Amino acid sequence: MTSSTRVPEAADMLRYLAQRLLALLPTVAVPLVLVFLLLRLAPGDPAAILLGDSATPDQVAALRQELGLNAPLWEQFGRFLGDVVTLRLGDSLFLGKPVVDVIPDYALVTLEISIVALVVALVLGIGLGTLAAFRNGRPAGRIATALGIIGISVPQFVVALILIVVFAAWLHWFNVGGFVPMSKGFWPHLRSITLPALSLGIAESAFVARITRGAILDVVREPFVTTARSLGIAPRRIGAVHIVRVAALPIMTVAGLLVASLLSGSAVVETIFGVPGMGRLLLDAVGRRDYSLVQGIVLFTGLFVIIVNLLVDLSYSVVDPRVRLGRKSA
Amino acid sequence: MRHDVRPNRRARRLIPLVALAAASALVLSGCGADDTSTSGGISSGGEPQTGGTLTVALPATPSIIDPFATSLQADWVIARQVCEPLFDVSTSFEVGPVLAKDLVDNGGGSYTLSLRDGVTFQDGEPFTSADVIASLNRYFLTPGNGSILKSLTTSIEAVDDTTLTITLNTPSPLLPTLLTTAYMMPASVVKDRPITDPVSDLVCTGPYKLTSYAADGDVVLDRWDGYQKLDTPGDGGLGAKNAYADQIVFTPMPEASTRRQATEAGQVDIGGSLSYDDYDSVSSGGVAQAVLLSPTSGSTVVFNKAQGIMSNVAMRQAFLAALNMDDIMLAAFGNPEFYSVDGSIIPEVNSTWATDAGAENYNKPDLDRVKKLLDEAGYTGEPIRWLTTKEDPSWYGPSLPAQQQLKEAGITIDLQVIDRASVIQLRTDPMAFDLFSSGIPTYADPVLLPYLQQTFPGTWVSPDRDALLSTLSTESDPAARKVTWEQLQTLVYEDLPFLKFGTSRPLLITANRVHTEHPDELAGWYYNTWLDQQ
Repeated sequence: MTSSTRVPEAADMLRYLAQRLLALLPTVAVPLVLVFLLLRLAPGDPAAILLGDSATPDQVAALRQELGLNAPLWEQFGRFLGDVVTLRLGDSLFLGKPVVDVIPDYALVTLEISIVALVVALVLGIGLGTLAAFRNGRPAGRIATALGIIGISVPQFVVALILIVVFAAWLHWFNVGGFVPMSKGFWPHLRSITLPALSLGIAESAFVARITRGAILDVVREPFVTTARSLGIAPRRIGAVHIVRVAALPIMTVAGLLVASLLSGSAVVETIFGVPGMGRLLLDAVGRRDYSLVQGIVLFTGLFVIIVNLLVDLSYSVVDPRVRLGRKSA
Repeated sequence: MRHDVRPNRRARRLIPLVALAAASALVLSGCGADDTSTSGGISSGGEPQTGGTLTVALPATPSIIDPFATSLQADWVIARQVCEPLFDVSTSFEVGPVLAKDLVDNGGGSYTLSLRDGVTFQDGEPFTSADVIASLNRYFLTPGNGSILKSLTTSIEAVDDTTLTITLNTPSPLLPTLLTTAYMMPASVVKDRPITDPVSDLVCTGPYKLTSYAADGDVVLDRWDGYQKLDTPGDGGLGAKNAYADQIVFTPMPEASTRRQATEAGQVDIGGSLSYDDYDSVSSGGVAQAVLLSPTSGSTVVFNKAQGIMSNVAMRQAFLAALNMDDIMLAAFGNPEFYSVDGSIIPEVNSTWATDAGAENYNKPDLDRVKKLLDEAGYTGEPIRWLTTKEDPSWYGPSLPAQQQLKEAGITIDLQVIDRASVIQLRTDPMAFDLFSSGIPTYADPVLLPYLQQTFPGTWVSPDRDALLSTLSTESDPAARKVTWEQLQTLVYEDLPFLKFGTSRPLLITANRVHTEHPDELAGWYYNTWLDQQ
C-alpha cells in the first residue's frame, strides 16, 4: 500500500468518526428525554415515598417544593440539562449525594461481572458454534446445536438458580450471594463474582453459538472456499484462516450487542445474587422514583453501549481488509 | 461440610454432572431441598458466648442509615445497633428509659429530663444536654413521632449538662413514647442539619460502631468497647445490650431463595424475610431452622371516605359483613401458623393495648346482612376500584380471596395491581380509588397509628375520633387511657375507615449456631444474639 492511499483512508476514518460522534448526540438525547418524561408522567411521588406513611400532605408538599418537584416540566428539564452539561447529573433524592459520585462504584461492579460474562459467552459460544458448524450433521454437531437451543430456551434466572444449588449450596465452591470487594482479597472476591458472571455468560453464550454456527455455515458455501479447496489448501488452514476470519464479522457485531444485553441482564442476576451493581441500583431507583439517579444511569449506560458499538464498528476494518469505513460503497 | 467417605476420582468427576442434573430437575419442578417439616424455633443455647461475626442477609440494606432522613423503619436497622434514643421499646412494646435516667412530671406540661451519667459517644465526646437539644430539633423535622412531638412542644432548655426541661403546650403521657425514635447524635453533627442532608457516618452511643457502609451494599459494625450498658435484663431496645458478636455484617440479598440457600450453605447466619413457601422444607435437623416471630404486621384495606361509593358507611359495613377473615388469611399466607386472625387493631403482642372492643362483627360473614347494607347504600353493582401491589405480599395476598368473597356477596371489585410507588401516590387522590391495600406495624401507643389521623389518605373526618384522640393524648391515667382506646376502636368498627384482615408473623431462617433469649429481637435488634464458638 502506498502513502498516497493511506492519506485518503485516514481522512475517511476521521470523517467516519466525526459522523458517528455527531450521531451520538440524538442517540443519547432521545432515550434521555423519554426517560425524563416517562418518570414524571408515571404515578409515584418520591417525596411521599421518602417521608412514608406518617407524613401529612403538607409535609409531602413542602418536601416536593424543596426538591423542586413542583416546578413546571420545562423548568425541571432545563435544570436536568444543566446538570448533564456540568457533568454533575443532579443529586440522588434518596442517597443525598451527586449522581456522578454514586454511579462509579456500582458501574465498576457491573462492568467487572459483565467483562467476565462476555469472555464466558464468547469462549463458550464460539466454541459450541464452531463445533456445531464444522461437525454439522454429525453427533457432536447435533449435541452442540441442542445445547445452544437449550441455552436460548432456559431463562437466565433458572440458570442462576441451578448454579447456586449446585456450586454454592451443594459443592460450596462459590458464594450463594453477596459481594466481596477486591480489597477483602482476590479469592474471596472471585468466589463472589463467579456465579453471577457465569449466569450471565452461559445465558448469552447460546446466542453467540447460534450466530457463530450460522456465520460459518454461510461462509463455507462461498465460492472462495471452493476455490481454496480446489487449490489443495489444507481444510484445517481453510477453516482457521479463511472461513473464521470472514465469519468473525457477524460474531463481532453480536459481541457489541451482547454488551447491551449483559447490562440489561445484570439487573436480574444482580438481584438474585445480591450484587450491588448498576442493574440493581437502577431497579431500586425506579422503585423509589429517584429521578436524577435513573436519568444518570440511563445516560451512563447509553453512552457506554454506544461507545462499545462504535469501537466494534471500527474494528471491522482491522479484521477484514475488505471493509473500509466511511467510504461510500461503489 | 466434612464427608467421612470419599468417592473415587472418577466418581468425584461425576458429582457436578449428577448434581447439575438433579438441581435442574428440582428447580424446574419447583421443589425445595427436602420435605422435612419443621415447626421452627430458636433456643437460647445455654450460656451466651462472645466472639465471631454475625452475618445477617436482608432483602435490602438501607440506602440511608440516618434514621432522621428516612421514615422506613426497615432502614433503621443500622441505627438500632449503633445509636440509642432517650426511651425505647421492648419486644412486647413496653416503653422504658435508655439514655434518659428519669423523666419527672412537674405539672402544667413541664417535665424534667435527666440523662444517664458517664455516657459518651463513640468518638469519645460526652453525651450532654446540648446533644439532646440538637438531636430533638432535627427530630422535629421528621414526619410521624417527631412531627407530633414538635406540635406538642413549647420549649426545650438545658438546665445543666445532664438535665433538661421540656415544656409541652399541654400535659401528655405520650412524651416517653414519642421519644422512642429520637436517636441521639452529637450536636456537632446534627445541629441545624436538614433531614435532606443525611448523615452517612453515624457516631452514636450504642453497643456497635459503624465500620463501613455502602449504600445498598454491605454494612459492617464492630463492637464498641466503650459502651455503657444498663444492668437490667435486655429485651429489644431496653435493658442490657450485650454485644456478643465481635462484628455484625449486614449483606443485601433481594431474593428470598438466595437468603435461604446462603443460610443453609453457612455463608450467612440469619436470613431475614424468608418466603412462607420455604417454611416446610427448611429442616430443623440440618444446619438451619425456620423461625416464626410474633404476629406484628397487620394486613389492611383503607377506604375512600371523601368521595365515591365507599364514602357510604353502609357500603363499608357490607364489606365487613361479607368477609371471612379465616379463609382470606389462609389463602393469603397458606398456613395458620403464619398469622393470627384477631380483631384487635393493635396486635396482641402489645398486650397493653390489644382489645376486642367493638369487634363483634369482625370475621362474622353474614350474606343477609350484606344484602341489606348494599340496599341501604344504593349499590347497583358498579365496579369498585381497589389499588394493590404485588411488591408487598401482606398487601396483595388478602386482595384476591377477598375479591372472590365480595363477588359472591354481590360486590364487584376492579382490582388494580400496580407498583408500590404508584399506590402511594394514587391513594392521595380521592378521584383515583375506592380503597387501597396497606399494612400497619405494631405501635407502642395507638395515638401513633397513622390511620387515625384525618390527614392519612382516605380522609377520615370524625369529631368523635378527634375527641377520643385528644383524650388519649392528654389523659395520664393508664386505665382511663385503655378505656378511651377501647371506645376509639369501637368507633373504628362502627365507622370503618379501614378494615383489618389479620396479623402476619415474620419468618426468618437462622443457622443452628445462632442463639438468643428473645427470638422477637431478630425482628431488628441483633446485639443480644450470640454464636456457638467452636
